[in-house]
Amino acid sequence: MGPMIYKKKWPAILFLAPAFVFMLIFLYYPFFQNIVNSFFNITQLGAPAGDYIGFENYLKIIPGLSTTDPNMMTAIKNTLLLMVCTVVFQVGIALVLALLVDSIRRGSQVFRTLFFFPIVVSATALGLLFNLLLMTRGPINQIIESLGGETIIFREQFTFLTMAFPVVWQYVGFYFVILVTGLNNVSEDVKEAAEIDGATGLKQVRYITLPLLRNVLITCLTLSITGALKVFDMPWVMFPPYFSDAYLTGTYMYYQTFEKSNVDYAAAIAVFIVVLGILLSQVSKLIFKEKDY
Amino acid sequence: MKRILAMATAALLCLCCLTGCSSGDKGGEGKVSLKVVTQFGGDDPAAGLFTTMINDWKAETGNDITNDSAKADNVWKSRVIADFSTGAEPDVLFFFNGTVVQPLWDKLVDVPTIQAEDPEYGKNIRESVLTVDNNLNGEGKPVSLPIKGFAEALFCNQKLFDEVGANLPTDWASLMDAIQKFKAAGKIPMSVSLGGEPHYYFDHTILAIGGAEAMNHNPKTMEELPQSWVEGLGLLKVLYDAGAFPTDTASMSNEDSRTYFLNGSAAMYLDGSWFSVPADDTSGAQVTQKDIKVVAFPSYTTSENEPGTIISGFSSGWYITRKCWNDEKKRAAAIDFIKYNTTDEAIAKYVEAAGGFAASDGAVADESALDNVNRQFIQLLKDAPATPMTPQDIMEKSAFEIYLQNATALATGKRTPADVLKEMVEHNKT
Amino acid sequence: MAAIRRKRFRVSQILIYAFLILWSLTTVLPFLWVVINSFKNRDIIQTNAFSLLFEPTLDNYIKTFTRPPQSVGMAYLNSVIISGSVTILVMLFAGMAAFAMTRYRFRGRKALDALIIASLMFPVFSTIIPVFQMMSSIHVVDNPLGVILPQTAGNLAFAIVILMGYIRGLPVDLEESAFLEGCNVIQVFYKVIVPICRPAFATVAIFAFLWSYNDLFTQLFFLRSPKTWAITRFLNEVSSQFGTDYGMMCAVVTLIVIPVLIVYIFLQKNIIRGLTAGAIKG
Repeated sequence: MGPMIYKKKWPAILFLAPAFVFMLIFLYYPFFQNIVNSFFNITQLGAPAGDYIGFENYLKIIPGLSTTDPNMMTAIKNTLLLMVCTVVFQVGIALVLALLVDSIRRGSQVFRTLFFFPIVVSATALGLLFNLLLMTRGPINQIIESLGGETIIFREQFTFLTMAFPVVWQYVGFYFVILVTGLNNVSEDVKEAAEIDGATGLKQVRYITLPLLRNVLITCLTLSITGALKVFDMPWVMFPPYFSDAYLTGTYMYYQTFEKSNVDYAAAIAVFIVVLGILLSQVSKLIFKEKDY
Repeated sequence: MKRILAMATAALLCLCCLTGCSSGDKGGEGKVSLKVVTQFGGDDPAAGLFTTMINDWKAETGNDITNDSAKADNVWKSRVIADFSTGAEPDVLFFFNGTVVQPLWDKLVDVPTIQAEDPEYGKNIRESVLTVDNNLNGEGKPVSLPIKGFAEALFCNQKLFDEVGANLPTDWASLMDAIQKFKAAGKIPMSVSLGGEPHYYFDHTILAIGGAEAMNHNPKTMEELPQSWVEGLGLLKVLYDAGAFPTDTASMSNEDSRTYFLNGSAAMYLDGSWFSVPADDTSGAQVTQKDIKVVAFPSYTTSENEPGTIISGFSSGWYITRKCWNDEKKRAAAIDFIKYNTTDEAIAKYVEAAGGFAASDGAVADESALDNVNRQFIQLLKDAPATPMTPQDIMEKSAFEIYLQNATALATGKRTPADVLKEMVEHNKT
Repeated sequence: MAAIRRKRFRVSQILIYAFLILWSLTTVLPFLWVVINSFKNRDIIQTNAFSLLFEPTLDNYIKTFTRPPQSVGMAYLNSVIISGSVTILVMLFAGMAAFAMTRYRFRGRKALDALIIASLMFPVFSTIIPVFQMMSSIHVVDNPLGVILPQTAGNLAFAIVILMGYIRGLPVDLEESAFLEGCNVIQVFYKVIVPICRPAFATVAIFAFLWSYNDLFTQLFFLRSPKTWAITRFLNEVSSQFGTDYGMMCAVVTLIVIPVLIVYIFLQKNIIRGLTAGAIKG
């Protein structure tokens, strides 16, 4: 028997309307336009649509066909791998940090501010920093050489790591803030009660905190999945446009729009990203089972 | 929350008062207000000059200008084009030439039409400049008024050359010699990011074999493809095998290629006249203006090319839109404004501000205002037996992209020039 | 017994602090690097990226503050107005929508859920042109509204997702008791949900503010005359088509970051534990 208060359904419309009307006008309708665009030939963003080309763009995205675009396959592969990293490491490290910050008494305010920095600093500036660090005669290689090693061309020898590490690192702070906020829901009383029963430290985390964080963690899961599909700033700055090993769905889409002047293909990629994102997030929710209280 | 917003707003209002609010344009009565969009915005070296020109013109004519200039990047380009599609295009535009304005041809007024109205318009611009291929619309008429062009050449770090005892590359033999010497000394002979910016090597390898004549092609079928293109692109592999390129040329970011040159790790760097070299008095800089010698890219041992040939071009110009043209008063004002900015004196000032070389013979920039690199370019252009344009700007963008995607593969030998060019030609259909 | 507990306590505390400090070094040092470089001459930033010995210059900042025809103060004000409005609208609409999505069961809820996830992924340049054309036709260009409206829409999805996560974890008891005391649903929303979820709203606020503040794309399309420019648009004018002025870029990043950090620190005061506990007890 559900709660009495929510038996009458009509107020729901009132609450949902503003947000969805906004999104309808400014997101769904334009994106529908975008879908339509993917069936026509458009070379410059802003120019009107050209000739009808049917499903040509989508045939490039389906693997295993003669029309398949190998760069798109690379992009998908890289993005899926990146997704695993963002889910496991971005959210994982953020969780560890959140729990640790929650457990200390002094300085938590300071740490919360410091962890926030990378999100605020523009990706272009951070990308520049990483580029300068990784140059063949840059500081990292200089240290390696002084220790007797050979110069490392990071982007070629460790392509995925070079791409994933900065991206994952930058947004840890984002999930950290969300999780720290979520930890507030774990009220002091519950924790005290648990401690009296003998559950402290790791045991407390495992049996009390984590289950109560469940919904927030699922939120983080969804956001990191969709984030990986969209990420673009940092990889774009760090890798040159024609180095195809490093393509991600986000950067490849941008490349098609602006460098290759193939706006319709980019539109098709956008559609693909959306579909894939919905699928993956629904699957992940099924696996981890969101719970209502 | 609301309190925070209030406090922040108050603080910023104080800041605003301190720094002074912008005065905003107040137009004269009864006069015309033109909407102008140009690339002279942001930190563009000509931005300050342009603002001065606007203010002077406004004072002289009493007309008003709304200046919507900005840094020229991809997003800005899209915005300008989107403005045309929503009917919000400006009256006067300083914008790129070439394929990017193709969708806008019917909304732009061609130069002969303007000149019929005012014969003085663009009179000082060289005919050869006006009629470059990438400035012609579908009817073969020039559509913009270019004022200054760019040139491409090989930047050499004279200091490094002296260090390893090599001569500046005047021909292929001296180039190869220099490459060997730099390699032995642990320096990068030719800095380039093949994965990011291989554009200039397309032009110059083909030029090195086929000369100015080879630049004058836009092959749409295999029969039209000059042999010099195939052989030229083969030079990429020759250079790569000789160790001329950095080890990370396939993957380094575009900026890295410049950094290597400017921090003294690389001896040569191929780029255009817009490449900015630090002034001599820049504290901490490792490579400055006085270290640079600009030379024409050397010809191959057997070549049609005349030594000293420099690739040059015009990539942007002044446009008047049909929207403005249809308004009699605005039409006259627009013509006047552009003429104001394209007199010989004005063009000379733009050259002094931002480099490049003038499209008008009468515009002579004050040499003392130019830096070492700029002066060398002007001299190179004077001495050049030919100054062809690169075919990049007239080819279909998707065709040229094939080269860009395969530059690294061409250098390493993973793909052959014949193969890549075949693909390019196939995509080069309008 | 007590002594042993205290000792173990201290060792683990040291380890915890060590790890936290280590991570903060990775987050702070890049920012410090940017700040230091903002005092370097633009020509030596790439070539002397990591040298700490250099002739500092205020050129980059001077250029920023004296650029005609716009003043930095005006740009900051515009940013505050635009991003502040977006933040408030997002908090309001997303809060309402998240509330309805979690508490009510209705047909089509799953579909709406999928739609929200979908809009999380729309890239800005996919939707910008139609939005621009729409706004142009009703003459809302060169106007803060032209930025506020699309940005609000763009931020709603992630805000709804985050708020849904929080509200789901709240036991319904409080709302039930308020209802039994005679409050209708709307009152329950304002009197019960919103106060309890203050930390979540603050979290949503900071990110909505940040993303609106940093969204250059929309600003470039809609804010034309310099007096309407928000700070990110203003500071985008630092590179010409001939290359980026990295010195100014670093100065710009430093200047951009400061207000955001101020907003964050203030909002942070809302994200402290004990708030929830108090509400439930009382």
